[in-house]
Amino acid sequence: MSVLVLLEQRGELKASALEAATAGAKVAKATGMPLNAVYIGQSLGDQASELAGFGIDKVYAYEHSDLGNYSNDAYVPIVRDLAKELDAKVIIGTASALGKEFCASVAARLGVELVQDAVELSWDNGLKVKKPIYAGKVISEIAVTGTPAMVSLRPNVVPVEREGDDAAKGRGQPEIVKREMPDVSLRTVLKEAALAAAGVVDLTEAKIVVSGGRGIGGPENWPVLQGLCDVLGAALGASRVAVDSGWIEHSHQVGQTGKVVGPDLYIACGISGAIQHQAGMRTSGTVVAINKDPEAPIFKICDYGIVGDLFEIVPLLAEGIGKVRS
Amino acid sequence: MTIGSIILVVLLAAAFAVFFRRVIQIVRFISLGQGTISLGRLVTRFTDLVVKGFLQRLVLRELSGLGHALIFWGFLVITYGTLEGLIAGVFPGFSFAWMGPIYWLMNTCQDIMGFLVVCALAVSVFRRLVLRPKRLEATLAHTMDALIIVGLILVLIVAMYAIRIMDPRPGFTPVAYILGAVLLGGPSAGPEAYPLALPVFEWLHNAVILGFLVYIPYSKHLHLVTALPNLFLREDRVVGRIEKLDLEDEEAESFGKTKITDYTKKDLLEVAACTECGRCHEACPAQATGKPLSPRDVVLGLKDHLFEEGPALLKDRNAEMKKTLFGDVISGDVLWACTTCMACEDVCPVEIWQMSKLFGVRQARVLMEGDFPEEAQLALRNMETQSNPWGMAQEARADWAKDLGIKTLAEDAEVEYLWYVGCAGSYDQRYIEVSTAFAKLLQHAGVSFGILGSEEFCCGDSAKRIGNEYLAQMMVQQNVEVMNGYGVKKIVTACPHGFNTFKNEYPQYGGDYEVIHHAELIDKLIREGKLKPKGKAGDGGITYHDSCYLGRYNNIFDAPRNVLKAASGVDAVELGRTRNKSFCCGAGGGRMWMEESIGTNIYADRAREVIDTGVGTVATACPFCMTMMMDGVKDEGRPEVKVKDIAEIIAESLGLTAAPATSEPPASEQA
Repeated sequence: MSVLVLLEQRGELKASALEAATAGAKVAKATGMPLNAVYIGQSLGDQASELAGFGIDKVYAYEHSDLGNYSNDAYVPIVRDLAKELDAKVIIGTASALGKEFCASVAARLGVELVQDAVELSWDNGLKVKKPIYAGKVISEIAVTGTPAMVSLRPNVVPVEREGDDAAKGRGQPEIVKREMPDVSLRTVLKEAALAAAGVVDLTEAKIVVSGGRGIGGPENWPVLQGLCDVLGAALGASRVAVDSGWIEHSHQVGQTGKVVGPDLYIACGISGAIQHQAGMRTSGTVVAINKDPEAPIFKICDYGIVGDLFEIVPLLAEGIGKVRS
Repeated sequence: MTIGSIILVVLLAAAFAVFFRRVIQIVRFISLGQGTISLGRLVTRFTDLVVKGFLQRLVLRELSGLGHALIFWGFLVITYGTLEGLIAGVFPGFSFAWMGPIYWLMNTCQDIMGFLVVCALAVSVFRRLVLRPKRLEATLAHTMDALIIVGLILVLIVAMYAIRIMDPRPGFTPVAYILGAVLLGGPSAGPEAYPLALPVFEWLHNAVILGFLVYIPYSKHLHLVTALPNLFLREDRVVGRIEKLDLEDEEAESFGKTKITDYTKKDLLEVAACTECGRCHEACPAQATGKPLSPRDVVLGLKDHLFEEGPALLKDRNAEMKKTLFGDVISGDVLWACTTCMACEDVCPVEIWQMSKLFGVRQARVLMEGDFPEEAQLALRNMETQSNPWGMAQEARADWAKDLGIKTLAEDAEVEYLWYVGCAGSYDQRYIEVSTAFAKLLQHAGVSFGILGSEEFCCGDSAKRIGNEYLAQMMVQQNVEVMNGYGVKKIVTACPHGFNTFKNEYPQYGGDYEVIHHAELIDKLIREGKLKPKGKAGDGGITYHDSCYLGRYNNIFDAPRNVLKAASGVDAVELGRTRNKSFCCGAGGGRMWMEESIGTNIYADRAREVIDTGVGTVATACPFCMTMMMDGVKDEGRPEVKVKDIAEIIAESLGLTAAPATSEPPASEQA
């Protein structure tokens, strides 16, 4: 009996792997079952140190140059066999695009149900999972009754937590168990990945969006906002006025007739925030508004409002955040 | 009978044959349309024919129409002489002289009108070739067409005067007299003195008449034949209504207009009646700001399409057409550019409904193909899920009213007015200020009213005008059900779009209410003394921007002006394009939910006009107009020009709301 965590990697371990480990640790703690993890990739190497502090007993590392990229042919049988070998009662994967396919295939091979895209795990006489449905309007609570109970965890939801004094609790560095790649023929081989628009964060998927409006004054001033985008890793948005004036392409437009975004943080710079703009950003988590006009409607819907000149405030913000981050 | 008269009879018969053959063909083209052209209301019809047609009332709404009226009237009196000439050509010696004083009078009229017609022709040629106003923008072929007609009329009149000089008739004929004196050096020597010249001019005269008969039905002057019938056969319509589309009709193979024969017979008569005067071309805000839409060209496009496909369609109604209605005849950019401001229909001298020709095509695109500007998708989806274009929560619809002591009908249905707040009034932070001001006015005046709160749905105007009849009907039915459930009798609303659809369209869905716009109600409350504004509002002067749906659609021009006068003490400054000539803000017809990516912005054009008056405040009475004007004055670099609803101005004047000089601190604590 054990809990098994699938560690997602793209060359390096993804943050979501550590999030899955955090969730796994919680379940292991509640049930008293040992926690194991499986790494499938080119080489775990020094990254093993990142796996300390979760109380993982063993990390089964399948390392091979053919395993560097996700392959359904290779990955699925590894996990299926390992789950049986370890008598896994709970399996936790990641609900990324690849992870969803991976988990679904494993669940099918094991003949169990799978809850995709969970946002919270808990143990109460069995695995309990929370999952948003109807485009996030409702959170459903699901009791997972299959054995093993299998879920995929939505990335960026569970904060990574490590135990404090690891060595003292015997929950330090996990043992790395090296395994050979099973003898499977790969029907597909990834030869090259052409990544679209490297370095540009997609507006609709960005966690943070910095938007500029009429207050930007002209296309020559975008670097002011770009500076803030860079330190935050944010995507650059714009209001209709900025797009209409020809200062930036329509693909950046946020609003009724542009894109609808819902980032965790939305920073509106020089945008009055009329309802036509709100329609494109009202589902944002935290809204920060910077505007010279204290009566701008954006101040009625923002969480933090700064009345002032964006050309003064935005560089200060960028500088301050830069300092905190470094 | 002489040889001459035999030839004339033969030529006349041939010309009339050509003329009637074409006219009958056109009538048959028109009969390719749907439905029937109804008669009835004959008194109204004849009145229309006399007043709008023969008395040229619609043409004479502007000065340049005087030229047309002179040519038209001149044509009528000259026809009297023309007829006499033609009959005399067949039966030599014939004359209307037996009519006595009438003959004398008609000869007098012909002499004077002939001169006036020549003057009018000169002015019209000067306008077309030299002044070239926007409305006369036309292709070379159209310009040539116009010049040929002018030339023919001119030759006709020259011939008429020549005949009159050589063969004088009884009557007061100063023009012929002076011309005779100048050309002949004295009074005419009588017809016998001109054995060659007189017949030449008589034949020239008759030849022109024959030419007219052959040429007119093939030219832009077809309207000589079609315009008067079009005025006479005008349909009785509710202005502002898009007729209900029967979506339950299981026999229907398509919805909306997918081909020219989907239009009604009256629609097709209208397109055949177009005079190409270009009034609509000039009035259209889309055309004025560089969009490809021209109401005139839409109508002419339909006419050319009908006439081109007509012969084949007469043989087989389902014949393959050379052009498609959408795409070839009406392009997407044309179709979606219309703001439904109705300036075109208002200005048309022969009562063609240009704008209405587009609605059916929009319906077909949306209902049959799901094809419409993609930016509008979000608004339509939001209306479907949350019954408002922005996708705000339906339950939060009455949140704005929380602290204002406003009751919903669910709490108290025994009220005089249902106040339909509308989407903008409920969710748009700026228009919530208008709602708040209006609420305070109603409470101050002791008006008994209630709102629907979360039981209120989008009125359906935008969806209907985008062509999504299905979605519009869904929302209309929801509203009707709720309103009828509460026994609503009177509705007041601060949105002209809701106002228009409740008043003119809801009766088709079982929703019969007395609908009143807030401008009218405020005006009424002031007149009844229930509101006593102090007349000091509006620093720097106020101008009023007419909403299309309030003004042109529903003839409410004075109420908002009365309110402004009561609030400010003086008449509002009028914009150049005002009242029924008002220029649209650009947001009607679902344009609010689309990008304006071609040409310049309509709202900016209007905002410049506002700014040019130098006023401090522009008053509006519509949430769309308000949004567009606010953007406009900012775009034009004059953000200090205030944009206010008439309710806000009157509330300020009464001291019910503070003028927003006191700047609120940013509401950072409001999450």
